[in-house]
Formats: sequence, structure tokens, C-alpha cells
Amino acid sequence: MANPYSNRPDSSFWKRAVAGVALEHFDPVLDVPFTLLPSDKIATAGSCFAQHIARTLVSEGFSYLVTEPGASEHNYGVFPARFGNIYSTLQLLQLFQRAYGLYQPQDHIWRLGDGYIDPFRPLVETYCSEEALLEDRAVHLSAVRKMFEECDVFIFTLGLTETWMAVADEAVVPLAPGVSNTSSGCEYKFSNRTVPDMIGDMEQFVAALSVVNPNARIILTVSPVPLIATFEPRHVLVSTVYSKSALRVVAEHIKNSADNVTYFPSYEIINGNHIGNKYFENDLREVRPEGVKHVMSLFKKYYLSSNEKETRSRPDTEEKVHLGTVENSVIFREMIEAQKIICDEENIDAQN
Amino acid sequence: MPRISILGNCHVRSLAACISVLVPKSAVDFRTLGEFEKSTQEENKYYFDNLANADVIFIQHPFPLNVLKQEFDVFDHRVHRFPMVTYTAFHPDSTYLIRRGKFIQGATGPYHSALVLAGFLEGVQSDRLIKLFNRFTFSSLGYVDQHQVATDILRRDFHEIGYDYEPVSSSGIFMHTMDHPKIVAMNEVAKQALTKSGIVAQKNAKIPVDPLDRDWKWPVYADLPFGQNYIFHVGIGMNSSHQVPIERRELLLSEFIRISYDIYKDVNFENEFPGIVMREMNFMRNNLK
Repeated sequence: MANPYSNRPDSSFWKRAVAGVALEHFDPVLDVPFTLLPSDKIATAGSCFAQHIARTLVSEGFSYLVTEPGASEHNYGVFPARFGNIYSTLQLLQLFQRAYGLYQPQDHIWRLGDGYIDPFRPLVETYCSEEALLEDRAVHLSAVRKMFEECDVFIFTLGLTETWMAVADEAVVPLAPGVSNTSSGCEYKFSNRTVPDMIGDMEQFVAALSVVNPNARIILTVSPVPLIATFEPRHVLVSTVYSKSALRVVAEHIKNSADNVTYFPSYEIINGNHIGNKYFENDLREVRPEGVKHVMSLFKKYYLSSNEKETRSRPDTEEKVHLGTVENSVIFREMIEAQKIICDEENIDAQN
Repeated sequence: MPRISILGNCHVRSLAACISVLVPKSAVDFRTLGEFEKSTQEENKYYFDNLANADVIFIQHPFPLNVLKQEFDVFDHRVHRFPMVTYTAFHPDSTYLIRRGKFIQGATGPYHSALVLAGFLEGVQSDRLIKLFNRFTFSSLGYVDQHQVATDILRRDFHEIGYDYEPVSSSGIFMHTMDHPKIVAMNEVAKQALTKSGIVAQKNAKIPVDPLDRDWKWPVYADLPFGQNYIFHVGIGMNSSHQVPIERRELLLSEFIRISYDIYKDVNFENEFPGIVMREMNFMRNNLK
């Protein structure tokens, strides 16, 4: 038998594709199953890293779908609708189910001092009354429906396997009540989602989305951001590796099982061995703007068809990725933007 | 001055109104199947005797002609058919409820929402049910894809008696309810019916006031193709001489559900309801958490 690897492309070989490639030329994408037009409406959801993607899509001139517009100081525009970070697959599925009246969690209003907050997006707003919260939630869920129905592409960044859910009905919240200093009359439990759990969640979500929007395409990514803390009785790095590995398996499985789903390797671009920790801030957790830029430059390279790219080229988008050039005005602006990223998880560490 | 008689269901009022405008010098009278059923044999005989004076008789298709065949055979050469315009795709959850041979009257007369009845039978709270009026529910239940099938059926029915359906379908949302066509649709039917009978219609005639406009009207739900809103219209009271409601009011979906639930509380369904309701109940069992 001849060496079956002898005709494989350079990208199949570590030395040629990873170890021997300059950082700025590292490209693990190879090909994508479809391209986007400037007019294609893109929606994003997911963990903190998804916010980076959202911001870059806007600044790069993609048609970023916002169905719940409002003032940025009230956290509008971070995502298409004001749902905040969606860390887990079950949280995404339940967002869809709540939006379409299929699911009504029992514990749906929390207290924060004299105010009221929405447990499913606790950092988005503090309301003065239950009525105000419910009224805004109706508007919000309407915007969520509009997003699901109108998007051409839905980018979901899988973030965490560790979740907190209500004991009564397994309603998933992004933060346990105690973390956000809120009070709830109900009990919550920790759940570390397994691969079969998450595959089930995602299969349900993909099927449900196709019911309301048969033409929607889905791009899955895995957040490269490590866990800020683990509730498992083990080292946080061990939990991080489990979490990211499991999410990556889920993404691969869903990509292979659904025609309209693909995977974009932003995790690999940021976390690959080629880069060391250069795409992370000093906390080894927060992704640096250069890393985001690298991810998004490849996203743009592959997902915009060549004709469209010509019509969209802007001087700043032609810049190569350079490390350590924070004095560069574009990157500096992006860093300012990055500081605005809202991360519910930060609350976990803030109290410790 | 042609004398024209029309027999059929509630469409006849609209057809008569259109023909009166399209042929201004005609004398048009109409009679509904319901009137036949309510009338005595003597009264019906009197009607048929008078029908002998008609130059043209339009009867609806399909119509229980076999019941009246003997009577119509006499006027055979003067009889022309016109199509019944029913179309469910604009109002896909609309259904009749019949208990022991009688229509159950709901929030909008005889028209009920299968989704609302299913919600009631499944014990879904009304404030939750209203949230199910959305694209996911409608798509899951096949409401979104009904236009092609409904169009094919109506086109076939029209074609069967030599009518062209296309002018009707091109008039936008041409139904008030699943079986109450708007006057714009009946005007197209009237023009074609007159052509078949050899009567020349006046060109550029105005479309008359719609006799069914003051009756019950259902919205095309906002989350359906051609969607409008979720506001129903209800006729209140009945003008005995013209058989049209005296007043009309709007019903929001929340009110429609509340009134429907109130009515259903007092109905003993005994598991007798249309198949469409069973399907909606299954949807709720399978999807509501």
C-alpha cells in the first residue's frame, strides 16, 4: 500500500501548516460551504467572545441584524436583541422556547435590592417594578422572534458546559442567583452538561430554527475564553479543557448532521499551539483585539465572495495582523471597544 | 330588462349586489339555501312558480342540486352555475363546531379557532395561549404552507364549471373568513357569470358596497403569509330587513380567547370536535413545557 498521506495537502501536516507558518499567515479554515452577500443579515449569540464577533461584524460593514434597537448604555446593540450572553446550548434552546411561548419558567423574576431583574439576562437592566420587567420582556421576546425569523445567518458561539438551573423546571440562568447578589425564592442546582445532553439541545434548536426560518444557515464557533471558575471539585484548567473539548465535539457533531450548519475554527485560531498565549491578555483569559482581528479577517476572507470583497474593501481592513502594535489607532479603538464587552461571568470572580 | 334569480349560500347577497351594478337595468332577486330549509313546502313552491318568470337563473356550485333537481329541470336552459368561494389558507385555524346538528356560536358567530379550542381542551391558560400565536406554531401546524393547496382546490372548482380563478386570486386577501369572500372576489365571479349567460355587463362599473363587510371578519394573523394583525371584527345585532349586523366592533386576540374560553366552559364536547382540533392538541402536548 502506498503512503496514504503522500498526496495530502500542506494543511494536513503539522510542520507545514502550524509549526512552519508565520503567525499572521496561520489559516486553518481551508474552505467554507457558503459565502455571504453584504445584504445577508447576520445574527450572533453566545458567550463573551460572541460579543467580539458582533462588534467586528458591525465595524467591518457586514449587515448585522439588530431587532431590538436602543441606547448602548442600556446594553442594546450588544447582540441583535437584548438577551445578554448565552453560555450554554440549553440556554439557547430555552431562549427560543420562551420566545415562542413553548416554555414558561416558574421562577422568572428576581429581586435586586429594591429593583427587579430578569433572571435570564440579569445584567441587562434593573427594573423598578414587575410590570415594567414583564412589559419589556414581551418587547424583547418579540425582537428575539424577529431575529430568528429574519436572519440569513446565525452565528452561535458555544461557551460553557457548566450551568445553573432551577430545580423545579430546569430553567437555565446565565448566573446563579447568589452570584449576581439577587434573591430568588426558588432552589437552583448545578449541572455540567454532557456531550449527549448538548447534542440533544442543539439538534432541537436547529430543527426549531428551521421551522421558523427554513433558509437560515448556522455557523458554530467555540469560545476560546477559559472558564473563570469551575464548580466541579477539580482544577479550573481541567474543567476548562473538558468544557472546550465537549463543546468542540458537539459543534462537530451538529455540523456533520445538519446541512445548514458549519463550524468556524475561531477557537483554534486563538488557542492553537502556534500562538502560545499571545492572543490572550495577561490574565490568560481575555482575548486580545489582535486575536479577534485575526479570526474576523479569516471570516471575512472566506465568507465574503470575491466580488463582494472588492465593493467592501476599506483601508483599515487591509491591514495585516501585528502583535504589539497597540499604538495603531484602529487597534487602539478596538481595545476601547473590547473593554465594553459585558461578561456575566466576571461577577463570579468579583466576589471572591 | 333581464330578470335574474340567484340561489346559493351567503355569497348570493354579494353576487346580487355586483350584478345589480354591472347590469343596472336588471331585476335581481336571490334566495339562500338556508331560506329554503327554513321555508315551508308551500313557500318554496311559490318561489319556484315565480322562478318561471326569470330570464337567467344562477345557482351555486357545488349546490345540493339533486334535492332540487326536478324543479330546476324545468328551467334547464336558463340555469347557469357560479362557483362557491371558500379558501382556508388566510384563516387556517378557523373551523365550525357542530353539536348535535347545531352550530355552536363562538366569539365570532359560527367561526371558531381550532387553536383556541385546543388550548381550552388542553387546559392552557389564556394568557399563555396568546403567546402561541406565532410563526413556530403556525409553521409546525402547516398553516404557512396552505396557500398552494387551497389555490389548487379553488382553481379546480372554478375550472370544473368553466370559470377562471386567476382574477380572484390576484385581488389580494380576498376573503373575510374562510367562506365569506370579499366583494372584490364576487365581482369577478359576477362578471364571468354574466358572460356565460350572454348578458352584457357594463364596463367600468363600480364595485358595490360589500354586504358581508359588516358581518364577522377574521384577520390574516400577522405571523402568516400576507399577515395583517390579530384583530377580529364582530357584527352585533341583526337588521331583519337586510340581514346584516347593525353594529360592528373590534375584538383583540386576548378578548377573542377570553370570550371563547367563557363559551366553551358551558359546552359538553363529549370528544366531538373536528380533526384539526386534535392536531392542535397534539402540538401542544408535544411542545409545551
